[in-house]
Amino acid sequence: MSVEARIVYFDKPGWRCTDEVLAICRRRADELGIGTAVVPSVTGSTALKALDVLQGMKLVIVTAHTGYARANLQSFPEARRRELVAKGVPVLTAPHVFGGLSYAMRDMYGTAMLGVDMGNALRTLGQGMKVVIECPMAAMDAGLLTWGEEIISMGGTNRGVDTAVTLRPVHVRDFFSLRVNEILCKPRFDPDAPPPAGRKSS
Amino acid sequence: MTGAISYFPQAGQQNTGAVLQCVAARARELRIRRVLVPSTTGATALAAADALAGLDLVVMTHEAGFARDGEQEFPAGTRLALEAKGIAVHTVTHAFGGLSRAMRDKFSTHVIGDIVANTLRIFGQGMKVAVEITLMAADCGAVRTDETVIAMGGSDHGLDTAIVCRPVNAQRFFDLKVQEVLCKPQMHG
Repeated sequence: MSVEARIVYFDKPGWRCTDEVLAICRRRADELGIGTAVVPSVTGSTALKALDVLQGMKLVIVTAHTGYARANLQSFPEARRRELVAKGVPVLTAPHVFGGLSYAMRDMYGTAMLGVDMGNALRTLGQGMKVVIECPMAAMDAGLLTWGEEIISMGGTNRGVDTAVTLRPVHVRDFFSLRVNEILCKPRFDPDAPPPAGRKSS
Repeated sequence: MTGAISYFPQAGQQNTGAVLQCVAARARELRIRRVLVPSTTGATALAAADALAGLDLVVMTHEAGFARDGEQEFPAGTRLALEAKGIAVHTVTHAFGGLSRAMRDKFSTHVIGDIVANTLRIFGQGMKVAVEITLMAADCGAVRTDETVIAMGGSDHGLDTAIVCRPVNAQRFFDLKVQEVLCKPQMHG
């Protein structure tokens, strides 16, 4: 006996999917009675849209870590953070779970380490899927989510969101116990698109 | 584009028939000719040969020695029967096992194949298998890397997951993109 559900495939990944992703999340959250969503937001724009569309839900906003784009730079505007926090919406800025020391090794020694491998394995389902998995673990470790509660998690490709799933978040140390329950939407990818730039030739 | 996805309440072989139905329907819609099916004992391969008649079925078995040294779990008689129907049955080294399993078994150390496999298991054991047999099928020349296929996977026996993707060789693993997820078990964590 199976349950048939909707899944939405976007022609291309990217921020243009954001409004539709939020509408999909709203609908599925209502259907399943899910009350919490984790939303990645680099500049705050996705966070504000989510606040509007997902009214009544508990939101946890996860920003890029400080220094991600440039040393000491935090792309999430401080005024926007204060505005959200004043409304009771936590805005988390923390080390990236798959980045951190793994990216340090990659950047310094050209060596792919644990976090890089995990991130790249998840990217076989899209960059957004990597973010979908990464943010709830950071939020769990920051004490912003309840263990055992099913939530909606969103992810995107550079800006906005293009992927959403339901899952029960775990702490980073329990990563291998994490299980994605439903996939609500994701990019479909053009199989004829050229491989990403920078790939080493054989 | 809005599609359908089937969720099974539990992972496992009881979902095999539903997965095959789901695959047959989507293969028709997308005009996909080639489908990949994992099969340990041959039972799933025979069920797939029946349910997916008319499609180019590629059966991927466990590697020889997976369960016990030197032993091939897929019965030779079933292999011959399938091959007589024109269905290819391939037995090759597991893409995520191989040397990674050698390291794990000998030195209790988890390296790349284990890490990738366990990461994909976030979506269920079947997702790991579906992706893995796609790489194996490409590496043994059973599928081309410029055709779109449906790959199925299961948890120990039978099927509970199916995806649409364009195969890549194992050495290009990080270029793989799963286009569609047709069905999977619900995973309550």
